[in-house]
Amino acid sequence: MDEQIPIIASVASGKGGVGKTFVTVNLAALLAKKKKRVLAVDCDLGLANMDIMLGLDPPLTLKDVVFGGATIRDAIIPTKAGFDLIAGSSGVKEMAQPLYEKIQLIKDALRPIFPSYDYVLLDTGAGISEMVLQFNLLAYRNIIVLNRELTSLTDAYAMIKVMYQIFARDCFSVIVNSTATEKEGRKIFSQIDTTCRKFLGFPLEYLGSITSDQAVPRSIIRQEVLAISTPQSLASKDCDCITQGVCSWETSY
Amino acid sequence: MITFVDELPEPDRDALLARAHLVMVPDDDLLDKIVQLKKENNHLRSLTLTDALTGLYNTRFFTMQLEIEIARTRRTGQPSSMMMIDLDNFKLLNDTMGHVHGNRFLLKTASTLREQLRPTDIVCRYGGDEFAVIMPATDLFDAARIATRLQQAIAEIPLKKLLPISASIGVAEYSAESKGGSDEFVHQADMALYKAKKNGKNQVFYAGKPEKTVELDSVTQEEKWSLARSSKWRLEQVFSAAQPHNGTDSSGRAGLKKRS
Repeated sequence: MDEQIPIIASVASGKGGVGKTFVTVNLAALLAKKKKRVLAVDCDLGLANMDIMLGLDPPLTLKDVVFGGATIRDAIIPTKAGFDLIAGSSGVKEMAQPLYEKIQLIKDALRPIFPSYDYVLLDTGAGISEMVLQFNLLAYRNIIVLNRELTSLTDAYAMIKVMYQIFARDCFSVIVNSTATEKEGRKIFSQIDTTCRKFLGFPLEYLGSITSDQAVPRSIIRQEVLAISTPQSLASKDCDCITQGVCSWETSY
Repeated sequence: MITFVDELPEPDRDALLARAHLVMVPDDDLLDKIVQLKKENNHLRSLTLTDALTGLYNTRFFTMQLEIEIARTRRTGQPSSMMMIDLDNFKLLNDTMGHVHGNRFLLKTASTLREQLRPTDIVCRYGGDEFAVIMPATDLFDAARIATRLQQAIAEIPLKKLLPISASIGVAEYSAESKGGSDEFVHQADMALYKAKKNGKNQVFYAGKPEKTVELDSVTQEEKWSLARSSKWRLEQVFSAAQPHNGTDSSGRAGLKKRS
């Protein structure tokens, strides 16, 4: 793999609360465990929570970069799980809907630090606001997270359709979160995949499913990274499989 | 032409000062007149390039700048875009509320455009209720997004009376492969604007590529049904026997059924 170009992937969903941040954190930790240099950016600027998930209190966030004149390198925080983090901001009204120029500013600030990493994961917010779309555009790979709820399925599809129509993106990878069985995950994926093939004319990539597991909410309450703290749990093993799928991108780059 | 000493390039100024004893020094009266003339001259020049009502650039400046952008695109290969904005039903506002309110709305539109655009974009008042924007070094993808935002921002300008004032926008791109000059470029944006108007106003249309952005539509009922089939499967296979239906799922399905 070329040292200079990291794999930049966004994690998006359309609907909120389907587990974007959980996926991002665990994926980042597992990639770091494989000795990859990983940066996770919490691009949810309105209601960011990756720092909370990790039990961190970041001194600087993207907000300070946009409004406070801090440099992006100062905002990088190393985590115990082995990856670097740039935290987003929460509850700042101006950041919830930043101006187009501010989005460009964040994107321009992020670009120069990308070459220091093998993987950059962008955790985007819910919805299909300009900000979410712009961060998805910044990434070469778009990971779409959904769950068994019909609304998450339609919102995920809406996100794919918008990205396809506005930016001509046609390469998305899907993770189905909190499924009862692996078979259910495949079934849900095949439905969105079929719809995509039929109406938009391209297939989706299936990264895998994450089994609904009591260990997941437990790890979130304890502010731990599940894949590191409880590697033997079902959900952790699923995350392992997904990470391997993500690693296979390196060869196709 | 009158030039002030401090406006001269350094070598010229030094040369002039070296010969200061030969230079006629005007008395205060003459100096005042010169300053006055200079001010008037600047004012007149701004009048020839800006629009009196809105303070935006005028068509004359627009045409000049468009040529510069086209030349830049040809030289660097970086595409430039432009958009034509036409207010919908503006005549209705003039007719029902008078020209004073009409002009006020034009001023608000002008300030909305200035706020929403980037510092590098050039905004012009093209005609009565027509505006044109040059977006240097911007491709059609980005221009389309900017246009959509402008359209929304204009539709949100508050009005005392409930009138359907909105904006139709035509967007065109000039790339290194583009043939024809500025006239053709303007024509393309005009045609896109015409299509937006004809298609029911209050929307953005694009000229030429990318074909993929031309048909922007939301998720259709058909697509929703295609997606919902799996939820039917899930509800039957996974939930029905074990537990009662989840609130979001069942309401989502009911909504879909009613509409189709």
